[in-house]
Amino acid sequence: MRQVIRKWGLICVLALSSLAQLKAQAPVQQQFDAANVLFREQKYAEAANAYQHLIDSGYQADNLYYNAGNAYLKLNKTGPAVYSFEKALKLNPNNQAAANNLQIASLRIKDNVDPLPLLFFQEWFITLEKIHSPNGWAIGCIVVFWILAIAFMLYRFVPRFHHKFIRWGMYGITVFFLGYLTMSIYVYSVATDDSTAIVMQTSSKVKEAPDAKSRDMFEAREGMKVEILDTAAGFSKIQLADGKTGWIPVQSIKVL
Amino acid sequence: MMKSLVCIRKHFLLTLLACLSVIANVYAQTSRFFTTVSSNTVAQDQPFQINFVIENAKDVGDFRPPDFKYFNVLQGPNQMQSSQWVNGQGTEQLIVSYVLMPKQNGSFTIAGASIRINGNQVKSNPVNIEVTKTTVRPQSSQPYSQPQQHARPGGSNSDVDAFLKSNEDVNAKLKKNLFVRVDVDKTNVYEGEQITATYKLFTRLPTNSAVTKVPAFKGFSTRDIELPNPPQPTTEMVNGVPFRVFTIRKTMLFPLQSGTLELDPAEVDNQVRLIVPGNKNNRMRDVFDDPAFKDAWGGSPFDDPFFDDVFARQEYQDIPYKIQSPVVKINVKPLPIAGKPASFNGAVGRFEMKVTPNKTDITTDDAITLKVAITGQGNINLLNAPKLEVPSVFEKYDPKVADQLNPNSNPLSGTREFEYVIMPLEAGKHEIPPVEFTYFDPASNAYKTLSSDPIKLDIAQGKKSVKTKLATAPGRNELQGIAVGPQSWQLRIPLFFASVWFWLLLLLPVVVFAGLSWYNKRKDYWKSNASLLKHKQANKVALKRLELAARYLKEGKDKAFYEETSRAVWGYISHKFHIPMANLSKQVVQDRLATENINQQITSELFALIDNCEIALYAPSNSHDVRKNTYEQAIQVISDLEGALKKEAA
Repeated sequence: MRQVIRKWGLICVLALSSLAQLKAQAPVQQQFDAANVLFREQKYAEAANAYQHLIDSGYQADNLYYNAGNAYLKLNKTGPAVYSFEKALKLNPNNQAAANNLQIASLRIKDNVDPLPLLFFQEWFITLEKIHSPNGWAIGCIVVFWILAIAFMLYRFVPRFHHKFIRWGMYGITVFFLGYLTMSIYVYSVATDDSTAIVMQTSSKVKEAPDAKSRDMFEAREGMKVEILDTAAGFSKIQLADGKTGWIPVQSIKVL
Repeated sequence: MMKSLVCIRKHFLLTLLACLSVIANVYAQTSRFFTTVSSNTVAQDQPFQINFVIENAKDVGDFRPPDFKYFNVLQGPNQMQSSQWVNGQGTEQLIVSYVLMPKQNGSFTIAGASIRINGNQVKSNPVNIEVTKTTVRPQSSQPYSQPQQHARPGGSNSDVDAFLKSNEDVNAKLKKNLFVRVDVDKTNVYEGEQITATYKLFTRLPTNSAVTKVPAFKGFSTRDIELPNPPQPTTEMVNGVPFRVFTIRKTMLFPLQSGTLELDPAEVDNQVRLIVPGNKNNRMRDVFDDPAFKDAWGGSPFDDPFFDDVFARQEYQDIPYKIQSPVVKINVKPLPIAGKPASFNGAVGRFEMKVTPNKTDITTDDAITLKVAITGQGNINLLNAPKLEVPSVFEKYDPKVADQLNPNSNPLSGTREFEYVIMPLEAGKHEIPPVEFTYFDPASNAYKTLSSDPIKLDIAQGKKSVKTKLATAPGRNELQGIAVGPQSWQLRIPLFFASVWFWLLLLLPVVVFAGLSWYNKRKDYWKSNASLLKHKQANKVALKRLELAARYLKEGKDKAFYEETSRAVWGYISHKFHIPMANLSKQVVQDRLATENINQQITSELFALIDNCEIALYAPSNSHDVRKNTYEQAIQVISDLEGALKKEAA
């Protein structure tokens, strides 16, 4: 089912753009391979630069971010490493390796605050969310809707299919469809959400007010994941995982 | 009267000092009898004290002092008693003391006194006294020949020094008789090698001392040796003079850095109680001190210290005196770099290592505790955990450290135990590689490495199913390698949900459904229109049959009209039911219509029409309205019949 949806997704979504990209694909892949070679040779700084170059060129591939994260981690740059792994996971929530390495990178964050443990239903929801990619949910939504429409039309117009089982089946598919639609909307809102950020500077003082002269409240460590609540005059109001809030210069954080 | 008062006061002081001094001496309940003197070397004009100590004797009697031939007895015999209990052992002392003044200079032996203890006559040891001429005590060391004096502090030697003679300088006296020293066992050591520093207060004066500043020992890790509380003095000879020595602080020091380190001074505040001659109120002394008087007498008879001490009005004077220990420099050498093994972690001394797992027969459900015990002498309290390299199939936790140091051991010795907990994640035969521990031995100037045997473990599969995540994926804390291979390169991941295609595709079935519905509706419409058409055709048939009748109606031909109408109806029925005209009758038609399930009303209307026509033939009304009515009736009946028959056919 998923395979089919994937396939459909590729056909539907990428059909238009793929032709144009095929041309560009080859040199990009070469650059990526070259960066991988640098990584293998333990030239982590060069590898990180090569990956970053591709990222800056605008290529969005989860493994590109994942590899860049690994290179940064080897260079002990916790902030960029965490950012890259988070980005890889955002592009592909099912990237297990990125999830694993993100966990390791998080261990390096100084006095990191553990986020509150999730409740069981929140965990279920996250598992559910990971069943499909964001586009997978949208494609699934359409597929289910088509099935529902076909069933309804058969029920309606072909007397032979005018059967109570078909009707019940339709109720079931309707529930399915609503589920897919809800998830599509949710996943879309998450994917377009830009309220989370990663602290990129080694140690950034978090201020009481959006003003460089105001009192320091605490220190945000490199690699911490923060929630952006507000932005004003070059400062962002952030909230840490443990609920502490304060203002931090915009340039010390990078929005995911 | 006066004299006895002074004596009592003196006794009191003596008792106090004696109490302090005998603390160190703990003897069994055997009775002893011995002689002590405050000083073996005295000036000719210096009084000194001789004590005959009877220890732990219950039944004593018949004390006979020796003959003090070359000495004057200034005071005595004074008796005093003291008793003390140390660790449940009692020591009772009965002291008979005399204050003597030499008559002449030279070397003399005072014979022992004798006493009867429990019926036996006992004699104490004789003592040698060197009497010098000058008042200044000779500082050149006098070979000290009396071992018993060594072993036992003179009960009241400081008492004698507490007399401040009129011609003595207070500061010089204090400096000479009260000081702090630092004893260091080594001054040239390696980093981490132990030094023992002892801060001692040397005194011959009755003082009340308080340590106001303890050394901080910057650059060292320190470990204090416990000292008895209250402090117990010992006696040490300095230049032949016995001093009571109080240990202020005894510390084991471990240098943490190389270079020249200083042991900072300790500061002691003293209140020295000196007995000074009361000059002010002694008029007699003033008179005798008059130079004219002195000249006349060739020296004041009251110059005698005895008079100074006893007859002159004595006063106690508390003199504050602050002393500092000297600064001691320690040269700390860095550990040699050459030949330093990788496993060296700062241990200096002599050590042994023992590695024991708590069990070797385990399953994946269990944890193994690996105990690494390092025993020996050296900076054991500073030892770092030796590195334990375990294969990745084990999960290792940080070691737990437990110390078992031998109390008050000097040099420091004991055991430091590291407890590693390791968890096997996979069943099978595994081996924990040898644990290596390196220390630097300052005695042989070399690094020495201890290595344990590798530990073989046979791990059985536990009941708890191994977490599949751990079994399949690399270790939880292991970084996973980079991803290689072709990737799908997109400049922008288009969100399908937001694209117009999503909504078009979602609307498509709705459109299809709408189209289908519309089509069906249209089809239905045409279907219902067909019956309408049929009705129209039936009407058409009726009109065609009645075409002629209509003409006659128009022309007003009454007879012809009715004839034609009747004929059209009968012709229609004949044509419809395939019945020949000859056979037609009302009865036949009725039966036939009944079999065709035609509505009774239509049948009755049909017959009413036929009857009308027949009646009109024979009794013409000649009315146009009636004819028109009949015509319409005929059309209606034929149309209805046609429609009913069509419906029946359908």
